[in-house]
Amino acid sequence: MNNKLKVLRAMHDWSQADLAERLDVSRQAVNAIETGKHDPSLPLAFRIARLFNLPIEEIFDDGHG
Amino acid sequence: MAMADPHSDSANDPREISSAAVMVRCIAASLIAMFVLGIALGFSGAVAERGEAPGPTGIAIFAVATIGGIAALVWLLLPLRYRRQRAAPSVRRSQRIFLISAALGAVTGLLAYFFSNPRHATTGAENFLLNPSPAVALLLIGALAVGMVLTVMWMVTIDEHERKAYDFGSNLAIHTYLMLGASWWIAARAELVPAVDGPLLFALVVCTWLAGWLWRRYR
Repeated sequence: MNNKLKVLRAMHDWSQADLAERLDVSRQAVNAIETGKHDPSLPLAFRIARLFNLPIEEIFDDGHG
Repeated sequence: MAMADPHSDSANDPREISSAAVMVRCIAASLIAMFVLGIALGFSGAVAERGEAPGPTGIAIFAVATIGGIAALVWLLLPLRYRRQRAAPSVRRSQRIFLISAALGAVTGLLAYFFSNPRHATTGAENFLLNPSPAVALLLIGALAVGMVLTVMWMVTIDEHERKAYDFGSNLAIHTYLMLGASWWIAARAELVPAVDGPLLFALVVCTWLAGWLWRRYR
């Protein structure tokens, strides 16, 4: 699944560790989501959306939208 | 708003090392520590067996191996002071539980070694793993029970990415066990190979689990 997490993180000038701390996950988890190696669960996707104040579908794209 | 390099990972300090590097260094340090401990035990055992002081060559080999081992330990462990300190609360909790488990394993191993039954003593490993006294066996089983509780505590603390990596490793391990255990047993029944070696099979399953878990976590 494609996502804009890396771009959004850069816009906020956050490192992967900064974002991981805000989402209460490991830095490896953030890296895996950004590189498309891990699709977040719905609860984590909602936490990400709330953090960036955006709808989930503006951050994640399954390629069928 | 300042734009950061999106590929950057907050490397404010170039000496900062990743958690993967921390883990590799800790594993390597444990192996070297066991090597140094083994040399010390072998050296003292040989001296006790012969009942005489070792010659200069023996002392020189012992000194070089010990000093070299300690130097390697310092070289491996000193950079850990630059490891990333910041982590999410749940990650810190899971790391704490992981460290407690490692400490439990180390203390149990040392206790089992020192309280082993001297009647069977040839080497430490043979003694407390292959011929444990009842007290040592109870100590090991107790440590395994505590370890299981710690594992459950750790599993409810880790994040979903870690959980998936751990599950992947365990899935790989159970399939390795089913495939290898059954094939080996059948081959042994057909007298193609020696009988199934339980400890070796256990070690292979644990190694597969660890390899799958770490690969999935850091790939």
